[in-house]
Amino acid sequence: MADRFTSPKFWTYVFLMALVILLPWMLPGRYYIFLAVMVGIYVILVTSLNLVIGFTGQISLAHGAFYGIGAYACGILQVRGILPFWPALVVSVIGTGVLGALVGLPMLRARGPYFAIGTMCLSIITALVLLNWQGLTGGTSLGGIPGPGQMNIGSLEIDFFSAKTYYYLVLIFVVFTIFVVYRLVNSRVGRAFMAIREEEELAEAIGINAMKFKVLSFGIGALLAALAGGLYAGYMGAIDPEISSIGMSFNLLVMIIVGGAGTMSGAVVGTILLWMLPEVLQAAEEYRPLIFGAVLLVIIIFMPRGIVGRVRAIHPKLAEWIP
Amino acid sequence: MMLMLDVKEVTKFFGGLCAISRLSFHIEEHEILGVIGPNGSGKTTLFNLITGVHRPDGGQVVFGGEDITGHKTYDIVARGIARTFQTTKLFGRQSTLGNVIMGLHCRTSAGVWGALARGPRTRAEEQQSRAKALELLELLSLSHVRDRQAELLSSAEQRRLMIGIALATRPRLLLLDEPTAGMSAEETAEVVELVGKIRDGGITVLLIEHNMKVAMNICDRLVAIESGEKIAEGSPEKIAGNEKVIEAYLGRD
Repeated sequence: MADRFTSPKFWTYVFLMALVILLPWMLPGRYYIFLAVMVGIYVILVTSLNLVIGFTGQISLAHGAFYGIGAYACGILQVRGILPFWPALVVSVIGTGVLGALVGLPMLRARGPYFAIGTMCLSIITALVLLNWQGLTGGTSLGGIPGPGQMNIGSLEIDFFSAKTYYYLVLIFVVFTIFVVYRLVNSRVGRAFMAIREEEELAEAIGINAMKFKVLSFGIGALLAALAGGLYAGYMGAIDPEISSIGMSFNLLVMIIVGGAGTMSGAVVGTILLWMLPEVLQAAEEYRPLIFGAVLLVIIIFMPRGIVGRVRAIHPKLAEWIP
Repeated sequence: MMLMLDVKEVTKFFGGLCAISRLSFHIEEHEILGVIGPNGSGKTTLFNLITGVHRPDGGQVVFGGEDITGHKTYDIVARGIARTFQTTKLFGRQSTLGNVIMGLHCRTSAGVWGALARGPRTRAEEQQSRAKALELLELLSLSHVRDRQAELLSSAEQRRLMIGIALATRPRLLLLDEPTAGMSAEETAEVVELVGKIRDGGITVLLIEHNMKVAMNICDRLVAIESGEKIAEGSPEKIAGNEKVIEAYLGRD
């Protein structure tokens, strides 16, 4: 433990954390803080999807559905005046987690591409229900979500309408999500997930109840996706069914693959890169999508295990450094 | 002698095809029993029936006095039956040590809360797992490659590791599906020695073997099957001279 404070790895992480904490003060304007908040929400989404896809090996295209269900549950509870933001967030997160496990129970019987197609259908159905069940969801958009508003702790007043404050709120949940997934994958539970990913038949043969652990992974994934959804609803104040579209789930999948499936940092790297690329490419104007596509293609062809997977393969020391 | 496994009149159909037909045999504790038979005679199906991968259409499997017919695989493993596969199956991207630690799954207990809190009990369990796995690698002569990725091991090392993963589940009965398939004479001798060590460690062994010489060499008793039916049973010498067995292997003139 004592040598922790002399290890360069420790100080690298301290530096990165300091950078993330000071980030809103270094960004040039409100728009960039908005981007930073969105990146944070997506890091929660992609990290939790990485648990299902990267660590458990189940290609789920339903993550957008749980993101949307979480956002709508949290939004509707507030708009209807049933619960304020914080309890609404807790209820929608736990509720979506349970729903995810229940839906996973039949869906996870399908394997490989069949599971992917099944979960894709789930996203399509969710988006359609959100759009057409107007009495509940308000149809094309649900507005007027109060969000966390203000909070008083003693004499300290926290105003979540400020973008900077919301950034820190999201940051806390990003750290929470990364902590949960990191601890899980580095445990007996995570080993069971990875055993299923690598050789399901052998996993069963050593006494792993594969169904139980797949449902667990899928349920925790759904729960954390709903957390991202609730934070998004609270931030934007208005949501629409697009957030559950199949395009959303595909975007998340691309972020995982580009960053490096099955690595903790890959989810973060992939998310940041795919949010930054369009901004960087703004100068290219109408050629933007073309360059964007070309960059993705190059990454996928030359780095099939993603950017982090590629970097880790250079030297075992690097693999030790980058989780 | 205690009865370890009792297979009673077990039958299995795949569609209209009868893969196993009213097959009965038993294994005593500390015995090495070999199942021999030509390709497609139902040997691997038999393993799948014992370990709960398939549910028998008839008959009973009794393990240590308890009926385990139709139980789930994870329950059967927890009760003490482990198996290996005919084609090598490993957790390829994990290290050799990691593979064996994965095999300890059913003998450890940390769940989601244990993983998140990582309290003293979970940490102690992790340490014990590592120590046990290192011990097993010693037995398997794989200590020198413990940090190597499993998919980078030589094929003989991989097959020993597959046995190691099965041993990690702490079985009372170990089912080995052609453990010497595709091995050189030298590697085969190593496996024969390992199987002897496993039995001496108090584990009963049921083994499928295609190579008659190896089967004769390590097994106390043999069961010969053809087309899902038992055609002979007895000591290796007796089986070697059995008309039906010779016919099944070599064909009739």
